[in-house]
Amino acid sequence: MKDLIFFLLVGLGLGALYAMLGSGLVIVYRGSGVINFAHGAFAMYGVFTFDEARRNGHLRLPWVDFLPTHWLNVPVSIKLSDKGVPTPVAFVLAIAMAVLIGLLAHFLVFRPLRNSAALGKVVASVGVMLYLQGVAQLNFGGGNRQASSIVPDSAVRNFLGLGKTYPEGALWAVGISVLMGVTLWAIFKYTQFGLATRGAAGNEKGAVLLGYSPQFLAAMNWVIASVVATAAAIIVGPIQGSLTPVGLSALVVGALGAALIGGLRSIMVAMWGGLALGAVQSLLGLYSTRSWFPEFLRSGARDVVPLAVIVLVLFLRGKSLPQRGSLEEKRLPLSPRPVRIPQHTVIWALVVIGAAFVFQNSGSRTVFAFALSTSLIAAILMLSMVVVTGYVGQISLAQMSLAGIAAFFMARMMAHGATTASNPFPVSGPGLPWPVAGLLGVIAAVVVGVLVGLPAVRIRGVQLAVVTVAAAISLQTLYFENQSATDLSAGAPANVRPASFFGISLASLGSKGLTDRPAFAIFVMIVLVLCAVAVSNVRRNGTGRRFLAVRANERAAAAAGINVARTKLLAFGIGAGIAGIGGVMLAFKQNDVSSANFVYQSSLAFLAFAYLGGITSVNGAIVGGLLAPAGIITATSNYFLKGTSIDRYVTVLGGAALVFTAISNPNGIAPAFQEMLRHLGNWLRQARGKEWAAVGKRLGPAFVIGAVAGFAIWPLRVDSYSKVWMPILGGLIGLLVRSIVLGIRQSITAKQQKRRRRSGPAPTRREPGAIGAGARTAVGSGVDTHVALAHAEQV
Amino acid sequence: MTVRSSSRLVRGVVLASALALVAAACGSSNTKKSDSTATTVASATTAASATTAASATTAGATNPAGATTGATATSAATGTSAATGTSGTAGCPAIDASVDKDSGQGAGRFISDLTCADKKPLKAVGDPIVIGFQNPEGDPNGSFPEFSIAAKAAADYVNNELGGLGADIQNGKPGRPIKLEICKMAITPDDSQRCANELLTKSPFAVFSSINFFGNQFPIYAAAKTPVIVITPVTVGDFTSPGVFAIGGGGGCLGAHTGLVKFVTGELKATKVGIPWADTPPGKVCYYDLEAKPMDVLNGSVKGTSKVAGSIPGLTYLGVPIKPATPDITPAVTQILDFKPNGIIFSAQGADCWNFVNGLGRLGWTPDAIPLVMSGSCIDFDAMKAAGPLAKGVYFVGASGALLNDPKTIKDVRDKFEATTYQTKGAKFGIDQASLTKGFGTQGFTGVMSLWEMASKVVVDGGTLTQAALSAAYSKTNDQHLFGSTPLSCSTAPPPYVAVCNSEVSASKWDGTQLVPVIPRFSGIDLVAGTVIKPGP
Repeated sequence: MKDLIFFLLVGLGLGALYAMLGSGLVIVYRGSGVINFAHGAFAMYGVFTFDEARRNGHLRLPWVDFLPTHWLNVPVSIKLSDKGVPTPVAFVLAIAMAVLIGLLAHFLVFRPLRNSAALGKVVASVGVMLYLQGVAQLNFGGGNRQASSIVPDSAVRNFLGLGKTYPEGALWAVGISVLMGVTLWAIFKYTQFGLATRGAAGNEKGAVLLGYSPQFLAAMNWVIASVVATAAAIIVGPIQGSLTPVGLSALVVGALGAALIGGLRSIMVAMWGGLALGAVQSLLGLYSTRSWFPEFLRSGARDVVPLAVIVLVLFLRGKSLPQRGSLEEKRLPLSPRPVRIPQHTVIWALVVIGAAFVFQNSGSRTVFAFALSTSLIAAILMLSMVVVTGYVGQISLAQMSLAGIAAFFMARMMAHGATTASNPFPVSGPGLPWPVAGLLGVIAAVVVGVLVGLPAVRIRGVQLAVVTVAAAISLQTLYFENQSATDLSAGAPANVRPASFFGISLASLGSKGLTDRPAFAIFVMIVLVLCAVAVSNVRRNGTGRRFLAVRANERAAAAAGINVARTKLLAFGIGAGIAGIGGVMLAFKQNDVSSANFVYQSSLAFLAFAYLGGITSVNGAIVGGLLAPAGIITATSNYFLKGTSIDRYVTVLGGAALVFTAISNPNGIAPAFQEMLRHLGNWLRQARGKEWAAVGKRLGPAFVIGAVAGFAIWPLRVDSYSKVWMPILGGLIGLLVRSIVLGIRQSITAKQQKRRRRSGPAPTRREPGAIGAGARTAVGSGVDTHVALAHAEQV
Repeated sequence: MTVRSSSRLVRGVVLASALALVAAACGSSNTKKSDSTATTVASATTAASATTAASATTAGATNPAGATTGATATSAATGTSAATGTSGTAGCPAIDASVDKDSGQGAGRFISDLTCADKKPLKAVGDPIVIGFQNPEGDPNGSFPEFSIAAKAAADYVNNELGGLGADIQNGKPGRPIKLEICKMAITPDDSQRCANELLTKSPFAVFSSINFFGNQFPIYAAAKTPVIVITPVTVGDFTSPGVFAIGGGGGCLGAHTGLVKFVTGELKATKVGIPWADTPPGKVCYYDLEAKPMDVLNGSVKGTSKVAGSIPGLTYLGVPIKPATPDITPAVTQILDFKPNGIIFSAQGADCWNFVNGLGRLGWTPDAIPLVMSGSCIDFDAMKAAGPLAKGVYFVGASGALLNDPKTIKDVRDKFEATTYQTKGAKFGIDQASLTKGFGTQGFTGVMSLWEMASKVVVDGGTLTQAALSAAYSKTNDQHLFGSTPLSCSTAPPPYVAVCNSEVSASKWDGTQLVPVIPRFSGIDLVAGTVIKPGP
């Protein structure tokens, strides 16, 4: 009994961190409707700022200088002292940094996204997280830092007569977290600001009518949340573990648990929930070492059991979770009806087949062969996200886990008790041939996918995202890393024998060891084409229309006779099947797959790339595949920018690109790319000398200025950039800057026109492409435009 | 580029789980001499050390361990014991073959070569030989640039002073320069294979794999018949893949974990041992097979053929799993301290080691009260200094600790010589101060020096330097000298750990400012002799 009490108490230290971070998540959600996956990263940057100022006397600003030169640089660091500043000064600096980050996050990222769909905000928060992690890596280094405590942290012997030693710092952390929770609760309950925030959370229009600015309130809430996160991380000190750019970011799962226990509404409940979560985890840590504890749960009990409880809570009270009332309806980008499928298929297939042969054993360019198969498989995986998220609007962060189910299950079905080069321990299994094993793997993925989708019947949006994270972590622990399920000892990878087809080997590795066999690339391409055609057909038939109707408005869909639950589960099943096929192909490519392939962060990254590509279309998945880790775009940038220092900034640039896309082009790259290609094709057909000259006149100056700047900057750089590529890069940046400037100018002009229109008589002329009056009415009556469009399409 | 960037976020858990495996940092593997080496090394080198100390401190900069060093660091060896070998036409110092007995075959020649090259640097000539280097770098989930920084410095040292690969310094014949192709990888399985593909397109002569948490690169290199040298073995593939030579880290947990057990029970006489262990799939095997089982062998509850089997009947232990990168370690530490151990052993990656020490300290533990022995992979001077009194008196068991010791405190002539070489040449060829004092930094340097030594051996033995010849040379090693580490013995690797070339370890102690050698060379691998593999409970 003493053990039980003590270990519950000892977990309160970590619980205090969950409580404070969870409170911050609730504040941000109420203030701006965002579930901030970057919340842990905010705390991370703040605590690094504190540590760096105290240890080395530097203040590192939250950005980097991409083009450092010998004489003109963007300031990224301010030296305050040679030996480090006193602790109170460092604390103030860290809090100031938290304020700055909160404001920047609001004004640069989430304010522009205020009318975006939840998915856009999730992706943007992932972008912010990546950005901050990348900046922290560059500014603070990846060294081994241990956080020190700013509160008394001596050992309390025989704590409460329980016969054990308790760290005093944990008591302080708990006390401060409770104090902080009560203070925040009081602020939001009794102050005008708090009441206004709560009011705006319920009804933005009402808040506006009462004279409050929801965006000002949101900014204040971002600042409060950021400050709370930073203060929490500094106060708990060593409880958070080593200081790393990703450490605190990972704790956001626990904090989300606390926030969800509080229903994303109650700071006090979130606080107590966080404390309870920490306590339960500590107790499970103790019990999991006991002999009576189930072996299959031993390793992951600390992570899985609390998450399971959260999922249960969410499921039971799912429909009571708040959806923020906002000024405008938030919707996902349009999902265009696929057209010219045969033509697209033939073009893509020819390009892939050509590339597969061109890059085989082609010297240094062989890296593109590897990248090609990587991109094709990633595109398959992203197609599963197109179905689940793009078509039905359900955010699933377990798609990679479903791929893993198929891969691991297939590997087990192919195993026949023999050892392999990568695994000296024999794995038992029926030794089935690859088509049967692969099919069984996909079926297993579908079954699990439907189970994972069950909570979607009652909950949706970001809450569902958190539930799927829980599912992904559970699958990781209970299946991929569970020897009793996989028969894999010592973390050995699951081995998959290469496939063959009527004597033709479909192995990925060539004779020289490179992943460059055209037969494998074509094999993957055929599978991708089949999946893409299937998804396109789903979109084009009644199933797709039902998907879109559910995505647009579940109530309206139900009113129209659609079985929402069945539709959602069908989407999860189809998505899981496609993800499973992707997992099977990944296994064939890698030959050895490990649990690391299928962590939930992989799903998050793939979701982000799918969003970048365009998550609502098949072409978007293909573009997303090109962008995927180790895919074509990576290979291209590595190949052409070799020797530059640009690779140092990939995390920062990647995060910034995600945010930029979420804000400026929520449809993703593919639709814009398609549009651009169409224009380009038409233009090239018609262009004569005069047209060429006109384009040169329009774009030439920006390109030339950029190129000259690129060439001029090169010798000034501290690092080495290519003489050839830097001017080209400069030219392209010049064009980008030009388009941004033009975009801003257009938006200003549009605003002015809007203002003039408001002050003048109402326009009678309909804008080309504007939706019809029926659709407007539908929006006004609570039915989304997409339903109307879907309806129109049916008609 | 967005690709790799976002892939960063993918890897937290991955890194976390695998980092813990970075068991140990030292070692080598000859079971035959394991029990007696500690004493023999000490006695064999005392005579020499007195004379070498003075010559090692010529003019110059202060080395990381605080010793005064200079350009002629390698002259440390010149005045040592009597010459017992012959040298070639280059007028190099005579080869002292007596050093080979305790430091591995070729140690005397190695010292003579480096001393000679220090006086008369020999530049490499001809077309460069491409050597691949696969290293996790630039990923927020885990970045170890010290590996490649140190390897680059070693390659520059080899090219500018040691005559390149295949040089015969005794006869003044240069070899070819090394062209180190570094592939910076993110910590994902896909990027691991991407790097393997990328390096193979450059037709490398051999490839170094610094630390890799997936092991999925080996089949790619194997298909290309490219030898792979693993610097810090952590995955099961590192231990068991054919064509792979795991030269570092005490052979991973095979050497380090058994070494920890041997040291804490033998040297520190602990009878109640707390064993926190990395809760990852490989970490589980390392604990059950190479920590718990040796303990059971010692207390007689498991039968083994070791001479010391059953010699400590009252020995008890408590294993407590700890997830890597775990926040709040207090519950686990409480369990350990509740057991009231008189010794604690822990093997993990640097950050986890010091997180654990921090957790112990918060519950009032001090190294004086309960001795703590950690693997060499925990060595990080910055972290140790930051930990202050909590680190003072902590023991480290690993293979590369000697390179970081202050040469003035080292008695062994070979260790002293190599520590001086590493600290001076490393600094001279571009290793920054922070990287110079990290365990992974020493291992990166050691890897390239090992390649140079083996390539020279192939040529000196009359062979032609080819991939096959290099692989054969590594495969045949049995008590072969390895720079800054315990000797290589790839030929005696026990199945299924066929890639493990080095499972002996050394022990040292942090005195608050530097590492002080305790036992230069020993092995605990005999503790598992005659037992069956036990991958789980």
